[in-house]
Amino acid sequence: MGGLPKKTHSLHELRKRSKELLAVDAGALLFKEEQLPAGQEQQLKTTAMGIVSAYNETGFQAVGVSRQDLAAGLAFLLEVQKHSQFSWVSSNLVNKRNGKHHFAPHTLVKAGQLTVAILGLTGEGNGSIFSPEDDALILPWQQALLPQIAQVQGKADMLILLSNYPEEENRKIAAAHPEIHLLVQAGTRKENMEPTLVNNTLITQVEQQGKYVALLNVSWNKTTRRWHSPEEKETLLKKKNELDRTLWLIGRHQRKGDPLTLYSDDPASMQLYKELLLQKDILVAEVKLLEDKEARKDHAAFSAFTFRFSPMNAEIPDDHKVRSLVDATTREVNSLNRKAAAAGSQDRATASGEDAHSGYAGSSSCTPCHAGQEKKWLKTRHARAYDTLEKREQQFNTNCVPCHVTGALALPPAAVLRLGKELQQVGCESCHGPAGRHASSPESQKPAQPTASACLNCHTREHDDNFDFATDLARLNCGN
Amino acid sequence: MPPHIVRLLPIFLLALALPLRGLAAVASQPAELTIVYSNDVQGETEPCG
Repeated sequence: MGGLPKKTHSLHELRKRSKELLAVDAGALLFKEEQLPAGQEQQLKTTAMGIVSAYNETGFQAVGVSRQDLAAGLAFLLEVQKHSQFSWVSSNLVNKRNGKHHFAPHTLVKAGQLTVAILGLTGEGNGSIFSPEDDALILPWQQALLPQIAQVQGKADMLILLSNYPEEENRKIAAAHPEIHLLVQAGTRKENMEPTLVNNTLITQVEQQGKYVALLNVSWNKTTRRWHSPEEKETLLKKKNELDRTLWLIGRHQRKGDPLTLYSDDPASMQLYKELLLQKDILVAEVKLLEDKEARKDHAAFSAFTFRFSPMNAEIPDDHKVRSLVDATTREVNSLNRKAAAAGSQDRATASGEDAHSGYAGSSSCTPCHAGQEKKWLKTRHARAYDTLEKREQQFNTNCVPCHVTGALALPPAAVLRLGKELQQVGCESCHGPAGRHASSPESQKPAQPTASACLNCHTREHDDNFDFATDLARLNCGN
Repeated sequence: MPPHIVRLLPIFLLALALPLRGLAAVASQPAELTIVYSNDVQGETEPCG
């Protein structure tokens, strides 16, 4: 939720400039996955409530219910809904017995001169994500969408669908329902998807991790409710290009004289030349027809849009109120985990996790023989990785700790928080693997050499956009 | 119909029609709207350190 203060600031600034502003979130708001990782349930639920408090300030009007948002269970999301000052929308998540919707099947929002209907679709995915007592069912879009569209069509000037379905399915939805004007996709996607017109629906999505917010400026014709299709213009351009090429080919034949005379003894060339002439006549007629159509078109009858993906980068100031909410959530998460770690409940998972960790010796064991390497390592950020967590009071955040200590990636969350001081940095064994045996038998047990896959456990695109194994290893320079 | 009413009728109709034309022009004006949208908040880079 690190970007929320910046997102809020951006939205407040936009709202100052434009009163006709509508803010929607397609979903995947609360959790990353469809199931919560074991041992992190409480931390993630606390964070989810923090996100909702922040969103109440941000001013989003509607959020789609995605499968990820249901990761902590339907009951939890229904509880979250009580604290939300925006609408959670799902047109297809219903009670199995009576068919009633668990969340708003649609919501109508007034934005400037327009009334906008917002519908939501929860993805069907693979298999049920509900417990038997939830009595919940996700209806296929083919069944759920039409009744909702029928309900809002007379009341709204524009229809927006927040969809948790994959792109392929969303294209089918757009093909079946030209009444939907904008479809915003939810879920993971590695890059922004520019608005793409399918039938009369713009399909679009912002890339994962909330690194961007998208802005779609719409000039909407309430009467026709149709986007200007760029297809006809493209066809005209294509035909013009084809005509240019045909004329060029004809010109080549004509270079040495009149082909009708030149090819009198060459029936194959004559045939080819005559076909080109015929093709030219057809293309000239087609281009004229398309040009006339384009000239007659009433451009005012169509709606138009421009768009921009705005990066939530470090230069954008934080909204102070949301910054405080995010910081409070961070403190709460750390406090919860600190108490849990102090209680030291030695459940079986924790114990077995700590067994799995026993091969690590800690960087201090390496120093007697590798003092030169240690000296270089001390100058790197790896050596201070845990200190930075402490400075930000995040040393009990089990999402953060594994990449700021040594050898904790395979440990259960509770064990991660009980690592000894000797492992509280990204030490030698983070790259070389556990070196306990090497420390006791240096000659017979050699540690592994660093591999890209070891680094990529933490230097993911999410955390390090610019990671390059060869360059960054050379920069670390431990072995030289 | 009295002749003065016949003479005034076009002016009366014009007076009615002009505002209606104006209204029609306003009605066909496109409505401006900015839609902000996002997705996947929880995936945002956490300020771990």
